[in-house]
Amino acid sequence: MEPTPRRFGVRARPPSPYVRWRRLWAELQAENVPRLAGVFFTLLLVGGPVMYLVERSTNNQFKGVGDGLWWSLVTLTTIGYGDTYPITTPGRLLAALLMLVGIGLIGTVTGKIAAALVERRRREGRGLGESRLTGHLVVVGWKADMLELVEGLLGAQPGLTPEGIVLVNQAGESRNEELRRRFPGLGYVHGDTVDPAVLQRARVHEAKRVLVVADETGERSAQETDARTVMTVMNVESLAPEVYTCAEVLDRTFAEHLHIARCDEVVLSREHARALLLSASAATGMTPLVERLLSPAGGLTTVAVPEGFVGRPLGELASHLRREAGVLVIGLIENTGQTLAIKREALRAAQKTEDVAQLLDNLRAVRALVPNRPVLNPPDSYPIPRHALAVVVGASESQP
Amino acid sequence: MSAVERRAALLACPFFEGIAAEALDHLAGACTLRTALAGDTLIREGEEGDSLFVIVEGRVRTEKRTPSGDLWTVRFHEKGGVFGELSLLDRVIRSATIVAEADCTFLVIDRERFQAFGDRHPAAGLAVTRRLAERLASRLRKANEEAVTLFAALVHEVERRL
Repeated sequence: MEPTPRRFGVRARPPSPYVRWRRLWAELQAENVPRLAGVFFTLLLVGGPVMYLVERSTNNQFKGVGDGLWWSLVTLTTIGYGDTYPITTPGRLLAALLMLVGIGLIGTVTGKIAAALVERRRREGRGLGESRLTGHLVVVGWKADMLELVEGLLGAQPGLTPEGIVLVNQAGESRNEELRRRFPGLGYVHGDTVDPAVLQRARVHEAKRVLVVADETGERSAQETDARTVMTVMNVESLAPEVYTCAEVLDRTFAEHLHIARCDEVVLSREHARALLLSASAATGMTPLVERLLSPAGGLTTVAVPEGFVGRPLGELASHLRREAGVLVIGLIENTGQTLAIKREALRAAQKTEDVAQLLDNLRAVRALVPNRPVLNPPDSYPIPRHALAVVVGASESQP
Repeated sequence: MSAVERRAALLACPFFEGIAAEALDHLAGACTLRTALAGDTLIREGEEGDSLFVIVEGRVRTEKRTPSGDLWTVRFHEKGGVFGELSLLDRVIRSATIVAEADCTFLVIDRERFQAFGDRHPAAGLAVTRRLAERLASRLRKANEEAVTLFAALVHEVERRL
């Protein structure tokens, strides 16, 4: 059996047509369009019959209320066929009134509808629009190598398309426009990343995952940048506690804050780079190996534990994967997935005891549960817990 | 089921260990026989009950619900096991659900019959009541210990957050 690499398949769903129309309706409502339409129809339904009453005795063009309505429609819409027209003085006065009002009304309504549609496009271009996606990936913050980051995201996550990504940053229109030209369909929300309203526009509550990178816009110190990252994560977690959140920090001291803010995964990017430099300076020769391990094309990866191996010793899984897929199991990552969901499940399981002392121990264990806990090279007898992923090194390209 | 078989069934119970065979004879006479099919529910958590069950044949499962609403199996009782004993002393709300795991035969005695048995055979009644009292005392001790444990945990929890 081929083990399937664990993939965070982000499949964004565009909003239903119903949702789109409701939004447009709300925008038109804000522009008073429904009220103007109401006035239009009132004039149409009142003007027509009145014209019929005024004209019917002297003008044989108006044989019924229907003729009056037809005339008022033709007049108000400024079509003006001229197939029926008033000939009495009161009739002509009424016609003059309807004509003048009709020009204004129709012009205003069509103008406003057009403006709403144009404005929406313009706002989306400038990142002032609102995302309408669900199940998408939100990338908060801006980095100099944003292009490579987006490219990497698309490459690493099969099924993810530019339409499924929404960027949230303050880098400005031109820089984002460049990205959007390279990746058509890429979503973009402009605004301060610590502002909950901005995050709401990116619909983090409907997102599948949120990635918060160490923002490089503005001249900020590492501490300031990290503090803002923590604030952003706190906002994301309060808006969307169920969404998987990962964040990049520069300074290790802020990693703890992120854990408190219930960030699911924290990346210490600067520390990784430093460790690599230190290792290289000591001439360990590790750099190419680390590069190989981190490359998306094979190397270090996680695979889901196949059904039936949960609860079994790790050694059994290791020899199974070695035999079937030619990969080397070097350990486990425990408590993977959305942290809150795992903790809730653990809390339910903890209650299944009659012994109060045991219950307290269980509850303490739930509180001490560490998300994404790495267990490197455990003994073969180590039992595989639920919610664990096997960490494997892919098959080597060079054959013996 | 003959009187001899009934007495043998009670004698085989660890619960009645040390009680004179004669007293168990009288108790066995006061019991009624009850059978259940695998999957039958004998006692329901939260309902009122007044009967003690002795498993003569078969096996039952004790189930409880967590405050979160999950059902879990607490333990199993085999042949010779006794459950529901506290209901002989007082009206009780059953603390767990008992489900037959296999086809079962029980000796069952309810509170009314138990009291009548005690009135008729005071010596035998006293012996069994003592055994119930021991069971009750040990439960009470455990409950007290748990209260202390909870108390300490609660204080510790508040202390942590001071």
